[in-house]
Amino acid sequence: MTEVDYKKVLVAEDSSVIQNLLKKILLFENCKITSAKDGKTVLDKFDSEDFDLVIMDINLPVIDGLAATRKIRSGKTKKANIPIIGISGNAKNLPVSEFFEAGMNEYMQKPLDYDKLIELVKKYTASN
Amino acid sequence: MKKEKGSILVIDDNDINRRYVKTVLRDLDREIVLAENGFLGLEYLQGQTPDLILVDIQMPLMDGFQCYDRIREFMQMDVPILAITAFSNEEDRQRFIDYGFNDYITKPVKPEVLKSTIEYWLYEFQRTLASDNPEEGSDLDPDTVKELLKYANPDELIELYKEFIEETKTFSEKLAFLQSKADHAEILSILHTIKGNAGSLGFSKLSDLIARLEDDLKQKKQVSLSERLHKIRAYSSKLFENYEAQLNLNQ
Repeated sequence: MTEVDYKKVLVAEDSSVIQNLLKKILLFENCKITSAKDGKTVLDKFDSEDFDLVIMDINLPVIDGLAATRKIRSGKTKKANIPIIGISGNAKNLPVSEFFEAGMNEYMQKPLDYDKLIELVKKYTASN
Repeated sequence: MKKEKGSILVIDDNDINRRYVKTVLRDLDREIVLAENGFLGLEYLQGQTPDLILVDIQMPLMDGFQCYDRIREFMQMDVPILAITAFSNEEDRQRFIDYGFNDYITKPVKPEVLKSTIEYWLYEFQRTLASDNPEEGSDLDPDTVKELLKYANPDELIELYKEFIEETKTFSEKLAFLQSKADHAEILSILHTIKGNAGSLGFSKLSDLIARLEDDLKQKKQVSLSERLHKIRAYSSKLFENYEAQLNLNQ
């Protein structure tokens, strides 16, 4: 293949500040970012394109990040197994176990530890 | 950082559960200490402080709530305490969080959920310990800036800050409007977004100020919202005027 081997990451986050911050940071890891600002857009984009990883905020408008995660996991194709990293300020003080119950592979509390995030992105985009 | 291996204490009266948990957690690089009742658990705690405690709720003699009280009050330990419970409706489970448990694991226990949740709390607790420095929230946390500079050059960073400031100004106008409508749910949600963004960019003190207001509102304390918001606005406009000098990107 002559194309550069980049990873496609779907970032679901309603704040444009965090969106842009993540774009900057993930660029270093050869990631191509697709942004979505609400849960419905996340699911639409997820259906119409192929991604290597999803970074999902919990507090998303329209459909929240947990419902969106459950929807993705309920899919019948291989796509349903995509790695999902949850992020949130956890406004409602939800127990973290619920995020994993919903099917998230990892969860990080804001303010984000960027090194740790990169580590996780590497871990989940390696070898495919 | 080389020190003795930390431990996880599991208090559960069911032998099979204890062994199951031990198996699931075996590659966490922690010693898994099993206790079949609260008394034995507390005995272990007299000599050791584990990194995390997992406690079954329904036990004879001393139940999970009693264990919790004794660990927090008499032993003054602030390590994460997670409940294991067969209670399954959401209201029941919310009770554990309201009581003070950091999290809960529902039976039947799913191995990935158990392991991920525990890994999360081990990491998060270390992180809060590390950030618990005596000087409280600085205007602009130098460590966060340093971290960000690994990924963005100074110009890009300034651009991110500008965007944050713009977004925060828009939010501020929205807040004023919501205040007039007394829409507290929406106010909380906006405060929450600003808090997260401020924290991510290293505006620690701003983030702390908002966090405190957020907590007070959530606990339904009588606060003068307009006064508090005014304070936050006044602080942030001063902060936004001179953050570039503090960033000190020319070095």
